Amino acid sequence: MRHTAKALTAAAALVLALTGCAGGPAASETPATPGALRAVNIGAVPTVDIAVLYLGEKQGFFEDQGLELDIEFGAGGAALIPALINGQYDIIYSNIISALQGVERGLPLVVTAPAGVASGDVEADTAAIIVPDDSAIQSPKDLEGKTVAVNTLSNLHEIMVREVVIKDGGDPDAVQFVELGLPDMGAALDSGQIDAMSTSEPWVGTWMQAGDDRIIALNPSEADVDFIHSVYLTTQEKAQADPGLIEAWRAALEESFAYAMDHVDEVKAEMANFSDVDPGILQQMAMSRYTVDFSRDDVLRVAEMTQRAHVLQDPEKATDLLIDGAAG
Amino acid sequence: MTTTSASLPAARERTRARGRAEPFLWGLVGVVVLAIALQVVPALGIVNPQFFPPLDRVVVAFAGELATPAFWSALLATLYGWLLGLAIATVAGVVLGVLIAGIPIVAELLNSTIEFLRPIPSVALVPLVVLLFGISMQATLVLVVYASLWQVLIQVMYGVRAVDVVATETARSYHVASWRQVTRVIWPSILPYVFVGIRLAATVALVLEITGELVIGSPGLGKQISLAQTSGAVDTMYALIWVSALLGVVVSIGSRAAERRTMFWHPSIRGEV
Amino acid sequence: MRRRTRPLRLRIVFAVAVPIAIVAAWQIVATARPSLYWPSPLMIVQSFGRTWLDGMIVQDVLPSLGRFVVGYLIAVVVGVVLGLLIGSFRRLRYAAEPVIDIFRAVPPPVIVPVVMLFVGIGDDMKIIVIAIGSVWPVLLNTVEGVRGIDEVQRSTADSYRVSPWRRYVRIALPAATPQILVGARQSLSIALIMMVISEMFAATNGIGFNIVQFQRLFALPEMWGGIVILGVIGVVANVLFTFAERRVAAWHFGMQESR
Repeated sequence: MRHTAKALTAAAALVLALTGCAGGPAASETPATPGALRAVNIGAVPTVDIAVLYLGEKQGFFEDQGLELDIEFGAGGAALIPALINGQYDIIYSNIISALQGVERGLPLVVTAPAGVASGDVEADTAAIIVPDDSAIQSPKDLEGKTVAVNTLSNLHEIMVREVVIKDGGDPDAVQFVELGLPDMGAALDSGQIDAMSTSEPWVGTWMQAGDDRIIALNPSEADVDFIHSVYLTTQEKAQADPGLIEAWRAALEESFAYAMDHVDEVKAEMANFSDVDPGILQQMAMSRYTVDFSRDDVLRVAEMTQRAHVLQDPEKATDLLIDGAAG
Repeated sequence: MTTTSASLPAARERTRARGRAEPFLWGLVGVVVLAIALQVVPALGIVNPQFFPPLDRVVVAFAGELATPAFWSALLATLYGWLLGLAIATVAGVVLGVLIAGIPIVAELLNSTIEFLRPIPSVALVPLVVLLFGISMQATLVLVVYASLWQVLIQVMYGVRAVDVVATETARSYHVASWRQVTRVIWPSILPYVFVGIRLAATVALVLEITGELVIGSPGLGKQISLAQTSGAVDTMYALIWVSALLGVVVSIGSRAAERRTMFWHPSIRGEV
Repeated sequence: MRRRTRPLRLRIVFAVAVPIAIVAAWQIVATARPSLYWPSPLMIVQSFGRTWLDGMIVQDVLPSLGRFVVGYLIAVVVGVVLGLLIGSFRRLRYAAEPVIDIFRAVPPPVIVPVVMLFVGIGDDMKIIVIAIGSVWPVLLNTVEGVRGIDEVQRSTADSYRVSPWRRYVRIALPAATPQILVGARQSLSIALIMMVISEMFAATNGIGFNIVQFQRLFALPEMWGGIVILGVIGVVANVLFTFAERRVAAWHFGMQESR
């Protein structure tokens, strides 16, 4: 009995020591050797917007600015934001709605640049409202009283759908939103559990491939032609302490965006590297517009849409907080 | 059944051997029936095979996973998180249990707090933990420790209360120092309870570890399941689900066996399931 | 050393002393160093009035509780019925136990997407998820309870050709009741966990659902409010179970005596 007790105590001590090694979040540090590339920790979601980063890196745009990207995939804006604040990442990719909601609650977030903007073309954009072919729903106004699936409530898709319902003369509060995982929406639509879904590429292509569905609206262009849907965020602290990094980041982004707009096929090819999407679907996919330029007004319009959806209190204040300190 | 007195021991041995084999054989029958059902029900289209594939496709996906390094690192991550969480919960549970139950005033004062905190489902803490730790192994670790701590703590507290009062009184009357009291008298007496607590905590810890990986996204089997689900790789998803279940069964059987070997006389071995 | 039972007043003081101290300390620290993630207890209580108590009781808390109770009761009934059957036939028990062990070890959140495929996204799904997740302790403990039945009772029932109804309800059930109660209590905590998990996916209302939504909107005081509510529900459920357990135990002993 005695030696068992001793062994257990020793093991416990060992484990406690290991806990210390389990460690806290890793913060990025400037490398010791000058002239070496500065590692930038990026938290993102595996979407085509990130393929633009990978492509830009391949073309050497980031290296030209002395940066080396270390991209890690997470679960989405609402989950990446706490990680950013923790110091786990230097920059994260996030939908703009979570960013606005975050700054309103006092989180010290700042936009470095848009990550993706509406294509500007209501005939071809990255998100769509899909209904079954034989549905009575013809236009967004018909969504009143119907159930629409989105992958996150009170977030980007819900806001885009509400906007197009308003534009079509309907009452967005009469629409029933339900939260479903992206892969679960197809089955739910087929079985009639939901009347419509609002989803993004490549899922739009995936569901439309089956051939028995129809699109009634293309977002975000139909909601707002210059809708900034995603942004690259950093903390206020970092933006103030290291403006050089943000400058370099934006410069590299500008080059990457310009290249991506001209070489769409290469972007799609890049996406095949980290995503299991069917190449046929990739090929048909519509693309966002990429630019580092944005105006306060662009962000304010989104903030106002968010307020109309009852999930933001003060659009002016949130906008100011979000872009204050941004180099744009 | 008539047996001559000469062959009685042999007959008894045969019955005992048959008795050992019988549960195993019938258990095998049960598992085989399950496997057949898992193959036939989707294959016949009773359920949509696109969403619940037949067993053969799942097995193929499983074989594929075994060849993928990502699977093995996920498995290791799960095991690491589980063991670490279990270890922390055990140490904390023992220390706190001894302190709380050992000092009567403390036990009374903390009783209400413990009874309030204990029923809070650890999954309710997921949003909080994500905010504090982001999507990391530490976030899930907090969940695992929180849930398993209670199992160990409660058992240790039972154990401390049951400690041989005569032994403690004797030690006290001989002015044995408190520290020695703890190591020589209390610790060996509560050891069986500690083991019961570890056994109960082991299963809880594994479930919470995988749950945390699934819901939070920290590295491990749970995260692989979630990735498989979001990319529509249904076969792989079910393969990983069965792996998690089998892991749970192994842990449950293993901890019960380990405990039985050391604590065969303890009543709770026979009582709890 | 005999314990003197303390007077009731002192017992109450002891029960609330530490919680009050913790809340007070939290309030002091949170006022001195405000943190987004640890809102002061005052803020949490204030948020209750704004959200949880403003219509959410009816809209979210009651539906959650309803599903919890229904799912739990289904789990208990199914667990007891199946357990009585399985426990009574030795070979069936041998065959069923590995299968039960495997199903029981499936991680709870995984049950949700699978059940969703069969039953969709409504209340049915949540109730079934709660039931499937929490049936195992009751089932296994019922089997154990039936196993332990007095051999004499069983052979007596056999030789008198007692009808199945009598055999199960009059003999097996009362005898196994203490063990069943152990399982039922374990299932209670698991049912609460399953309730929260079932509401984290594809939900439109509920306590768990709102906790997640509040987190997404970074509404920390409201989120904490939800956690507090869950704690209260857990405590109340356990207290109610203890009452019910005592009534059942009384009935059980009554049955045993009357034989």
